[in-house]
Amino acid sequence: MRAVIAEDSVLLREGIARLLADGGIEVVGQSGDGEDLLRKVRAHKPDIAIVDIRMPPTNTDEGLVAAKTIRAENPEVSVLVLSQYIEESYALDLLADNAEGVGYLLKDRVSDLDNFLDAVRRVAGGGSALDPEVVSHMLGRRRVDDPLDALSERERAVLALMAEGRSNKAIAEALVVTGSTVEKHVTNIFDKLDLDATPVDHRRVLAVLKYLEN
Amino acid sequence: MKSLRFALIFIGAVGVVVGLLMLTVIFSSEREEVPVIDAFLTLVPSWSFIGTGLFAWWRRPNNRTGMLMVLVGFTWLLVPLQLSDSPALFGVSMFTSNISWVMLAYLLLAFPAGRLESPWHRWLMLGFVLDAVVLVALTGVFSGPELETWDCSDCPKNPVSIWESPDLARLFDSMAAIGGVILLVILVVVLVRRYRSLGSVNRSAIRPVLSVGALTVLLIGVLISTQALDLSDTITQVVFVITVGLISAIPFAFLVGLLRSRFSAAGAVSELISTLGDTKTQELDIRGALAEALSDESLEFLYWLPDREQFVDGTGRVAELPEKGSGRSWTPAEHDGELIAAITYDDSLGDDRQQIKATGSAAALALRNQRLEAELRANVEELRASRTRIVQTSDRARRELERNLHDGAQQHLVSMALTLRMAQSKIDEDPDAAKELLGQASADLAEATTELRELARGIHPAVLTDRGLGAALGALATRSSVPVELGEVPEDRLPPPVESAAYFVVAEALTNVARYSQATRADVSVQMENGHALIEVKDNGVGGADINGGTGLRGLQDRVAALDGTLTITSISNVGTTIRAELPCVQ
Repeated sequence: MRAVIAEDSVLLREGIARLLADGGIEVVGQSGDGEDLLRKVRAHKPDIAIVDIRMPPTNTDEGLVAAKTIRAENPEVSVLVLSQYIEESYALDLLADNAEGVGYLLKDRVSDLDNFLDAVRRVAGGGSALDPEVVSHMLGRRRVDDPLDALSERERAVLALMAEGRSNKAIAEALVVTGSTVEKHVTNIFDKLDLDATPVDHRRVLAVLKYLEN
Repeated sequence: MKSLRFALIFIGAVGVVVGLLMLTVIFSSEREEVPVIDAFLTLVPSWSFIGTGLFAWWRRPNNRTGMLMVLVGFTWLLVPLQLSDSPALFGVSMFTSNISWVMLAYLLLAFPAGRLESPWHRWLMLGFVLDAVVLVALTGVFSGPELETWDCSDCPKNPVSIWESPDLARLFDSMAAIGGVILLVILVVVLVRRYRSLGSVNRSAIRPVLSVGALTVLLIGVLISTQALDLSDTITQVVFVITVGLISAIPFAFLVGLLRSRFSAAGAVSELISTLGDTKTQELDIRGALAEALSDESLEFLYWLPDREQFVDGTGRVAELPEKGSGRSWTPAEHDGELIAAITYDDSLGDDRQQIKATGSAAALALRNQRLEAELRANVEELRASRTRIVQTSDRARRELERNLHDGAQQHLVSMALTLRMAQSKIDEDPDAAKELLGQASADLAEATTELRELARGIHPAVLTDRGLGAALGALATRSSVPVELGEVPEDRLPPPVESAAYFVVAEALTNVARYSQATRADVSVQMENGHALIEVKDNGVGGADINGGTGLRGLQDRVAALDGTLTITSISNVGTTIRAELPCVQ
């Protein structure tokens, strides 16, 4: 698996490169800004680009713009955006149209090596990854007549993991239950929230996010 | 008012009693050939002065003219003491017989204000005292036991004859006569100039007094001259009788003057209007003109600012209307039914309310301009206060930031450094313990990161800069512990200061909703209207929010005012609170 990293802090960039290498992922290019990233992605055609959201020259959401450009130009290149903000608007902006091969994680997650590598592999493989913190914010939002109140605690946990982009198998492992139990929960959730059941993992991420957004 | 009335009645009674006592002096005098005339010359002027003075005093307690008139009356009553056969009373009369003239001069000089207007008027009065009291007394002291100087052979023995010196006595006597004439001429000149400097309304008030007064003064001058020139007694007596007649007329002239200045409402109004209409006096002092028209120097304007719903004084400071019982009253000055200002004045003008209102409304148009000025001053004043508050707020925010960094992230980092050191020392002998310590260090680090992130967000949310108001308000709504319905928010970006202000208005408002309102929902919207952003946060809580309640809302108001916007808070008990900010969006 080949990756390009874009991060303006050299220290952090080197650190990420090292932990990717340790995890068996080949880092084929490193950039410090969006322009250079686009150049390197076009040149190397990596499996995944890992992009810091805030980069020079504007230091706003350069990374996010670059990520969307990459998705538009090279749909086969997955993008994982690292952000210091727990703001769902960034995530939704990125994941809104197509959650396949897209991820949005808080920067701190890199220190959680296993989960981070898992997320990188999942996104590189065409799946999605949405930061648990962002998901919990979206789930935690107080609504008038909240339909989420109808969900059991277990169902909420399953919904959260779905929103993070986990597969049924991963959810079953995380909650230590069987796959069929997870499936039953998923069906219940979709019923209660009045959503069309979409079984495929990364497609349902979108459905769930769209639902939570409104 | 009641106690004043009793005091005045008492003074009047004293006046009657003293008058009657003087009658006994006059009628018992052996030197007096026609006591009836003297009684008449004593009682008519003095009782006129006392009576009219008391009336004026009662109607205008703040104007000392009434009191001065009473004093003139009483000092006039002392004149017949010189007819007394008792040497003691006769001696006293040498010092007192002329005080009434001095008082009369004082009254003329002080009319209509009731007080002397300039220091040199006081010097003039001192001159009168020296002349009419001191020099006369000195003449008495030196003129010997038989009072040769005054040619009074049947007078009682001079009780104050200390050192007989006819030359000195004559000198003092002549000095008194010459000085008296000079002083009277000066007084006449002052009065004429005073008269010519006045407007027509005040002229009509002062005219009767000054004409009678000036004539009297002239005749007194003539009287002194005839006595000094030793003209025949008949002439002197004729002049004396005319003078006394005129003097008796003076109090009535004063009364007429006071009544004119007081009750000629139409006159005062038209005077004021003609002053205001005079284009040369653009910078005129309306307050001064009105104060003069109504004879109340303490009169003030408080300008009504409808936007702020407050009264401010001329310097722009917020002012309260006088309360009942504070000694002051107020009357609105309106123009076309619109309140422009409140006129505050002394309670003693109380029964003149109609006149004040008419005069104030006549001035209302001109007052509107002055109100603009007051409003400007009020804005400057408000700006100064708000600038101070902004500095204070930013200082407070900095202190808070420092504390948060210190108590939060830094503590975690220090703790992490410690844990790492411990792990380092244990890694060889006890790898398991070291591993646990490293885990702890990671947890500390995660805590520190989280805190730094939240702190940075509180200072300025990046989402606002990056993605605009919609996304930023969405994030606020997500974080709110009270359900928030986010309504309309403009898609287009607004000027950064407006976005910031709007964001912090909503943030602070939602914080308040969560803390105090006990609401079950809040509605947030931002609408564009005529180039203004209208930000509204509405909850269904218990109400009771107040702009002066805490620093939060006050800070918001300053932030909004800094952009020339307005912040309004409507808080109704058990219905809810609505915070509305209107911000002009000038690109």
